[in-house]
Amino acid sequence: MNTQDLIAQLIQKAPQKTPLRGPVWLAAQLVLVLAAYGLTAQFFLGLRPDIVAQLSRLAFSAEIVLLVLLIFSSLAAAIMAMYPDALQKAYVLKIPYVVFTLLAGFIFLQWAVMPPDAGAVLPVTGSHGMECALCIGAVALIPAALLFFLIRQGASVAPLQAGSFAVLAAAGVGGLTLRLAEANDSLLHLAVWHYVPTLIFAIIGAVAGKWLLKW
Amino acid sequence: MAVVCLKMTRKCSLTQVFSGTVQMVTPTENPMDKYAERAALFRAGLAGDGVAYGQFLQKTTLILRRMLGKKLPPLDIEDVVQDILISLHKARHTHDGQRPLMPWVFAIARFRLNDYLRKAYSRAGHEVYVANIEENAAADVTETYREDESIGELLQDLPERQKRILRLLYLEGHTAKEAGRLLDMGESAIKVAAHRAIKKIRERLGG
Repeated sequence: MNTQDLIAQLIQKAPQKTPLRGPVWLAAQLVLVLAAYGLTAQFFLGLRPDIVAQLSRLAFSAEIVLLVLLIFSSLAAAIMAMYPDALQKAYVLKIPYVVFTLLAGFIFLQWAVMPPDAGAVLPVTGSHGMECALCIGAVALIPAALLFFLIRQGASVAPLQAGSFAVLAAAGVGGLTLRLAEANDSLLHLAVWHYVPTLIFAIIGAVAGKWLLKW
Repeated sequence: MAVVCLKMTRKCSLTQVFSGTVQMVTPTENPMDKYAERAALFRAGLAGDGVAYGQFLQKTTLILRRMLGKKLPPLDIEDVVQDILISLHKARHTHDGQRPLMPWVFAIARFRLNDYLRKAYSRAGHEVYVANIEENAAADVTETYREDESIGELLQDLPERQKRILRLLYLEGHTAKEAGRLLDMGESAIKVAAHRAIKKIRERLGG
């Protein structure tokens, strides 16, 4: 087809179109929905019995803060990735990776300065493992689907990244609720059954993004 | 006279800002923005003005042709331009008409160009693979090795296509690109075939 003919066709297809809602509005809506979903998930999973004591422990609080940061930064990046030019703030797309690296680094840092009590590192005998990864995945499923649906409303030129952000935010919600519910602070357990699966989910999200976020 | 400074990029010093010699404008109002006209046409298009939208697409087509001319063979340019125009049309709701327009246009253009190149390279790789199968199937694999010192005789033992490629590259002095054009093959396919031919000759020489 001739380019002139194509332009004539495009003009005929009514150019008037309502622009996508602003990123702040989208972010506010998403935060509300995810907060409601997270609270519901927390209601079903319950809270660990020593939650108050744990929150007064610096390492635990810092981990929770980093998880919350991971959720917010991934949400922001997923929203930015809906716009082809990332609203000319491409640096936002790098923040989730930085936060996740910080989180992983924080776990390894605690490992490096391991206290004499090996219980802080090694998992409790007979404790579960795979269930945690599956639980994070199960909790993340609905938010991930919601985020993928939202990103599809835009026009992402970085579908792999966008997919990974969507899943990272969703897995962040799963990880946070589980961390507040499960009374297991073993660093080995957290690394192997919480954060490595989160990374794997993000990679799966990137692959899914390549196929699901085509436009 | 006041210095014009973009609000988003802030390419002016703080001293200029505080001394009041700077006129702060948004990018779409910037009189020095050479793409301001296109942005205005696009905004009018979003509001439903088909003529303005058509002009925006026409003007963008010119930029795209110039951009792609440096990266694609002439025959492929129109295909990719059309692909980009359709993408701009599909994604027009992701621009509010307020922020600078051209980074948005170029982001979509780069995305579609990369898409096209990825497909083209994967097609080319497949063609090289098939060409190699054809060449190797045509080669006489039962022939015994000979230790000839004559390059002409060594060339004769090669499949016809490889022979022609080596002649073009090393006897007639063509570049891989030129040889590719003459033989209707891709540049990378020529290089791969030449490499394999040289490898065969080297094996026959016992090297």
